[in-house]
Order: sequence, then C-alpha cells, then structure tokens
Amino acid sequence: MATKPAPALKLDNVTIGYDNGYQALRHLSHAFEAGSFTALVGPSGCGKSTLLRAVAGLLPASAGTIENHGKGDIGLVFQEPTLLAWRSVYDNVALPLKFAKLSSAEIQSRVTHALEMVGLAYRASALPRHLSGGMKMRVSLARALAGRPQTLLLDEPFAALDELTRFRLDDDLRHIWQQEKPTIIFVTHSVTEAAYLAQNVLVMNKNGDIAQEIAMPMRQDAQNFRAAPAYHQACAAISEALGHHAAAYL
Amino acid sequence: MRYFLPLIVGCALLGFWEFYVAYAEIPKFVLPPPSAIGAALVDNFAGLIDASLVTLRITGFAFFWAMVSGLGLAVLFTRARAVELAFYPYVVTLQVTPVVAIAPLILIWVGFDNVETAMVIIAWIVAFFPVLTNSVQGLRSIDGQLHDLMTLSRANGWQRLLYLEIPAALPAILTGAKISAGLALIGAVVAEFVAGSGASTGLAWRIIEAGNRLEIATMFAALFLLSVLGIGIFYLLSFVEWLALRRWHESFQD
Repeated sequence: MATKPAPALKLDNVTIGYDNGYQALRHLSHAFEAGSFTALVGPSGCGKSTLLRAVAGLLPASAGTIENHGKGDIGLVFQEPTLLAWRSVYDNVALPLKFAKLSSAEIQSRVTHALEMVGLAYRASALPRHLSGGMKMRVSLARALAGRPQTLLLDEPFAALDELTRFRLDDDLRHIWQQEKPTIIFVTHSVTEAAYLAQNVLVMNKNGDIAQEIAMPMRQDAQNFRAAPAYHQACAAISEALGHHAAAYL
Repeated sequence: MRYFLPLIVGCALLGFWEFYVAYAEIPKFVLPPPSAIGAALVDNFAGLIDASLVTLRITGFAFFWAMVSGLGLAVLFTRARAVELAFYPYVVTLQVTPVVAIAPLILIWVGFDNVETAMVIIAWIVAFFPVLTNSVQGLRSIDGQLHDLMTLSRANGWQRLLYLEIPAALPAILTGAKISAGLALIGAVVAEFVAGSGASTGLAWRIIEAGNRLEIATMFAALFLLSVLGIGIFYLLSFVEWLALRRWHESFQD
C-alpha cells in the first residue's frame, strides 16, 4: 500500500551550457514526485531559472535527459505577469486554450473556473493596465491553471510584490495546490516563502547543482503556520544550508 | 486658446502680407497678395480639385505598397536573420540613392504610357523605408517572455504574428506609417516633377505649369492645397493611431 508515488518528472544528469561555454547546470539529477510541492532556492545566477526553462522545454539540455511523465501540459508562471496589454483578463487567460483548439464552451468554463480560483472573476473584462501588480500576477497564475497542467512551474512569481500581497498569494497558491494537486516547482529568493509553501526545499549552489535537499515538517496547524516553531526551524535550516553552500563558492 | 492663438497669428501674417504687397508695390508675378491667391483658388477650383485627386491617388497607392512591403519585409527580417543580412545593404542602397536620379530609369522601364505607375513606384521608394525600420524596431522590442509564452502555448507562426507580434509592434508600426504617409506625398510631388506630363496632371504638375505661365497666384493656390492634403493625411493617421491604441497603450493613459 505505502509504495512511493512514481516520479512525475525525472532529471537525469542534466547539463545545460550556453554557446559561450558557460554552464548553467552541471550533471543535475532529481526526481519530482507526482503532486509534490518543491521549492528551489539558491544564490543569484545558480541556474534556478535555467532549470525551469529546461523543464518547460524552452531550453534544450546539452547532456542528460528530462523525462516528463505528467499527462497534461506544463504550466509556467514567469517572474513578470507577462500579459498581453491589449487583451482583457479573460482573453489573456483564454489565449493558450484557443491555440490548443478547445471548444468555446470548454474554454469558457475553464477560464471562468481559473479566474474564480484566483479570485478575479469579477475583473474578467478589465484590461491589464487597470489592475494592480498582485492582480496581474493572479491573472498570470490563472492562465497557467486554465491549461490544467500536471506540472506547474513558477519562477519567482511574487518577488516584485509587497509582503502582505505576497503572503496572500502564497496562501492562495497553497490552497490551489491542495485542491488540484499539480506537481509544483517553485523558484524563489525568499527563505521564508520556501519554508512556508513547500514540502521539499532544494538548495542549489553556484556550481549549478543541487547541494542539499531539506524536507519540510508536516503542518499541524495550517491556520497559523507562520507562528509555529516548526516553521521557524525550517527557515533556520534553509538559511544555514544556503549560507553554507553559497559561502563555499564565494 | 489652442486654436485661438494660431488663428490670431495666421490672420496677422496674412494681413501684413496683403498690406506689404500693396504698400511696396510688389508685382503680382513675384508675390501675389493673399486675396489674389484666394481668387485664383476659387477661379480654378474644379481643375485644382481634379489635380488634388490625382496627387492623392498616387500618394495613396504609394503609401499602401509602402505599408505592405515595409511590414512584410520587417517580419521576414525579424524571423530570419539570414534574410536581413542578405537584403539589408540593398534596401539601404535603394534608400540613400537620390530618387530623382533613378526616376528616368523607372520611367523608361515602366514605359511612358504608364506614367502614373512610374510615379507610384517613385513615391513608394521614398515612402517605404520608415515603415520597414520602425516595424523592425517594434518587432525586435517585444519582451522575450511573451515569445516564450507563445512557444509554451504552442502557437504556430501565424498565431504568433497575429496575436503577439503585430499588436505589440503596432505603436512602432503606426509611427512608421505616419512618417511614411507624409513621405509618400513628398514622393508623389517629386515624381510629378520628374515624370509628370500632360497625361497625368497632379498638383505638382499644376505648380510647374502655372510657374511657366507666371500665374504665381495659381501656384500658391496649388501649394495651399498640397499643404491641406499633407495636414489631412497626418490627422487621419493620428486618428487611426488613437482608435487602435487608446484602450491599452501607455501613450494614451487616462
């Protein structure tokens, strides 16, 4: 009964180099379990974003293999909202579905549902320029969710937002993950955000490899996790690992 | 105030002009007074309107082809670096070679019985470059993440063009269009000067004709209509720009 779930995503010895000889990732291997929530932290330029782009298929691996066993598409949420300024919120979320040639009834139900999940159904007809930064990011998240991805990649999505907005979006993301159970890889600079959101935190070093994997404690009190000692211990553990692995390459 | 001030200045200038010509006894074939120009405009109105339509037609066709070729080439250039490397020097050559010098060649090639086609080609050469350069710049400035989004959404080439590239580059394309439309009119005038004949009589041709007959007032009347055409074209395109961008672009922020 208690067999380990099959990996949704398996990276085997992945190396990604650029034309100028710089290697962003070196011999990186990791298996992401289906439905897991993994946070990726590490110093700037350690290849976190490169890893996401490679998994999304935007970058070819120079060596090694990336196996994606998820059935659905991959959703990617960028650092910026990346919305088309001339299309309404609804039309932005609908566009990838339109390209996928879904029926208009299906598109409508999916877009409406996705906008409801991020709490923006009431702004469906607004243009991006009339939204706040946090709202734009929610639209971006809704667009990724509307594709019903089995794998959801997020590249520092809330980094540019103020802390209170970020806390709320973190909660919303947790909630959506619990409902839909996609496999999530979440890149962040923030130790506290990684500790708050993820089940697993991967600490990368400047060498473009995973230096350490830290399992986060199970949540006893979901309502008040930010005040729980377990959360603070997790933050401390990630900070220490980051400091250790970043310092080694200073 | 925005309309009132220029109007005052214009009236003052015209008044001074009228007065000075009479006061200094300047002959009519050197500088006619505004009243004589007005009279010439009224007397030759039908003929001048016909001539305006000819010039407008040449300008319109030249502008249309400038948009089609400039935008088409810009898309090709941004899609395939090799195409740009191969063709860019020749595009620049065509642009920097004085069009007046090429005009006789074009006339010979197109044939003297197709003068209007030759004039459209000449005006097109003058007009198309700004569309090309502005469109290329607009297409190049599109955020790389938006392109990634299209790739991730599995958009095909046409979808990428229609849903991302054209709308995103539209502000730059329309800037190019505004410059190009003005140049198309200039090109049409140049074309009439070098290639015009009794067979095709636009406004510029009327200016030459009136000049030869020393009907300076008629020259001014034709010149006035050319300015009106130019202003009309500029405002028409500004209106198109406003229609297309006002909802979403920063330059029309409310």
